[in-house]
Amino acid sequence: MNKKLIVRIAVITCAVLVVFTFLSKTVYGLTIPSVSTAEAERAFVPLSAKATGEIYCESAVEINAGESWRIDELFIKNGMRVEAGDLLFTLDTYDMEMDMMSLELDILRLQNNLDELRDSTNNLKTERLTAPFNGVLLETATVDRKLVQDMYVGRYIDDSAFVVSAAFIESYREKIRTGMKAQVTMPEWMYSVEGTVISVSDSGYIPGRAGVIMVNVQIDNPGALTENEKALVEITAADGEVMLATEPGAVRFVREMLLYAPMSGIVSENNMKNTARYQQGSTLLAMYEEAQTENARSTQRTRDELNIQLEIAKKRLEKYQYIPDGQVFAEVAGMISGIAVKERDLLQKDTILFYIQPDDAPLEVRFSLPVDVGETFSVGSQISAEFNTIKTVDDSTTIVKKKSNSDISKVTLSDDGSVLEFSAQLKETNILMGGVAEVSVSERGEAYDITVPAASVSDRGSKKAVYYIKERNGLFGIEYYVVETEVTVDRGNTNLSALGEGGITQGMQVVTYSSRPLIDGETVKVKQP
Amino acid sequence: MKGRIFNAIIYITLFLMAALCVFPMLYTAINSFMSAAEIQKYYGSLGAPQSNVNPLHLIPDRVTLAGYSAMLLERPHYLMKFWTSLGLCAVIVTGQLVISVLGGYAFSKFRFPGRDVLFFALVAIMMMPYQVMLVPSYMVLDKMGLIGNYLSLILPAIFSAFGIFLMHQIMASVPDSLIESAYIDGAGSWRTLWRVLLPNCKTGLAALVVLSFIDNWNMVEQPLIFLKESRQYPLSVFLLQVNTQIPALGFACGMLSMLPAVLLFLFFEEEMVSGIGYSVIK
Repeated sequence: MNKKLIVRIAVITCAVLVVFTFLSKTVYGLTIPSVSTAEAERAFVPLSAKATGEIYCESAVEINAGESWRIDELFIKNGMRVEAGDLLFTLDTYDMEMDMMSLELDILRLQNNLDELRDSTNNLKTERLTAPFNGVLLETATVDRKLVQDMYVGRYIDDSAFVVSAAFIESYREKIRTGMKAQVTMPEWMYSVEGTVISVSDSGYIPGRAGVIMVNVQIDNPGALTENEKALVEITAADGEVMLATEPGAVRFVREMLLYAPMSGIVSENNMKNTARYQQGSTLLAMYEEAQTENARSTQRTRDELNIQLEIAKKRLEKYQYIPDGQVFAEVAGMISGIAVKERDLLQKDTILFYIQPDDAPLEVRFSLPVDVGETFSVGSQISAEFNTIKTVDDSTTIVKKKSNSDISKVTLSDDGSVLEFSAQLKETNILMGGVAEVSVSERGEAYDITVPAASVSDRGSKKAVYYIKERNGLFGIEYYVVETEVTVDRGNTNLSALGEGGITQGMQVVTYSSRPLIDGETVKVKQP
Repeated sequence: MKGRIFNAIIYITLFLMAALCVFPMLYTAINSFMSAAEIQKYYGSLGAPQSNVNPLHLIPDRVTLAGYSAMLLERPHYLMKFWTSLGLCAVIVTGQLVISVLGGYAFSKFRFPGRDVLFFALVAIMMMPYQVMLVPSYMVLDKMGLIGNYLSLILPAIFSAFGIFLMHQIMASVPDSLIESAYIDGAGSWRTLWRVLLPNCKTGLAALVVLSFIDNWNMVEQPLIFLKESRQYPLSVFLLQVNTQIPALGFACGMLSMLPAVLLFLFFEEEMVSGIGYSVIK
């Protein structure tokens, strides 16, 4: 081959390769991503949050409208300091007085009407069913408004003692006397109590059971006995003979009575309640005769209505027992706050008019944060609150903004579980209750071993990942490449993230910025700070 | 008839041997025009058990310059290694030329005590595998503080026994009468060397240049042992690594790495053939 040709080829090849060298350097520089890094180190990750809160005073005295009044004159304003006995406001009492007079007239009229009606209905017969003895109403039947005489209404018992009726052979008739002691035994339980013979019937008492006598034994301390238990009775005669009942007897209450309606008529009073205990003579049921004529029935209805109206009018009049004399005075010394009314306002019952914050009453700021934000903060976390305070100079008050630092004193979860409610005591006292406070909460927390800039943590679906830099001996020498590793963020703010145990250790260089999205294992250029 | 058959057998044998020698180059050339996906498809599972991949995929599914583009444009590192290797070889070849010429001149045209012993030692060293000399070389270079420096490659290569031996053989073939004539004409040793010997030893010099260039262009062990950082490695080491790590780039890189050696051979073809033949015959 011609040497000159070869030389030309060689020169051209070298020239082309030189051009490609510079060209590829440019292209490579443009395509390889450049990254900025920061070192993973031990640091604190303070957290903070902002919220808008409200000033509260627990010990503030609430001044409310007891009833529906109308305010005549108001002598106070927010931030004003009052002493005990100072006049706060006056009420317009004209309407109240008119209403009271009207009610009194109504009551008089109703009473007069009732008196007229009473005479015409006084001749109706009435009856009462009373408790026959001290006892318990064991059963009650349904009692309607009208009852028929002798209709069953209930079962009344004396549960103070039990009685067992036992049958003995007739030959024991002469040996058994009332007052003798008897042993009553429940065979199933092997339980035994002592009783007293209260009566002995003659032989032949039980039809078809000739040759036996019935002995009733009263048990005053029944213990665990219950009605209808079966019990054996044993009596020891004077001569020492042990007399046994022929068969077990049933345990029953010492006294029992079935109750019936005393008359046919209208039930005016019903005090019968199941299992209720009554004293002897107390009224269980009261009835009166149903009016037989239409006039009488009509009068009765009118009387009932008038009674109801009279009750209503009396109740309405009761409220005016507390009618003030038109002037309301301060009961405590303190600062007025939260005035919610003005002159000539018609107040609704129980409306809160304003508050009096006693001197030196502790104030607190209350605010809330969503649970996912607020759960970081706890009792003791620091807050900084900015609010309005009252400044009084020569009897003139001005509003001044102030900042105060405090600690969270209480944290509670809202009823629906979505919000955490915080409160913190304030040192200042001259702050209007109900005022708005701009609150900033911060929590320094503990130092974390591995913290990285927040910008280095990226989202990978539901997980988080960080790229860090490693060196390797690439084909072209030492090169830097990125490694992606999954991490968990224990705590983070806008600047820093504290990572849990995982792929990042202290001293590692993590990627905080890249000129384009990175791929795990990709070669990168590291920008020098 | 017998002569024709014999010739045919000779030619066939030579053809097969030539094909065997040329085939790897052809194979590399063809594969350098395949895409990375195609290479991965046909050669990616090479070495895996029960691989059904045909390793001799000679016809590209689609001819592409993607390999060359990746090598020449996407990264400058290949070309930087190319120039590094070229620079190293240029320095080594130049140094070797100087040392070999001087050494060959001395051994062939001068008589001094111990010449034969030294020459014998030189030949013995030349015969020894390079691996035997590696450890002593490393210790000496380490003591000199040259490990990690390009001089650790250049200095041992410059003082090559083969070069001295080759030049000795070439210069020994130049008649002594020429030398004596030059001395008689008043030329000194240097002038004699420069004006009389070297012009007569052009073939040998060409052969030495080519052989030395090829030997040092392909060196792998020395850079791996004497250099510390991979960015210092020459192209030969890079080719070794790229063939295993990025096969798609390996074929294209191989093609371009052949170019300087091929051009050099073509330039000195005539001289080299006669020079090698001369040394063999001698």
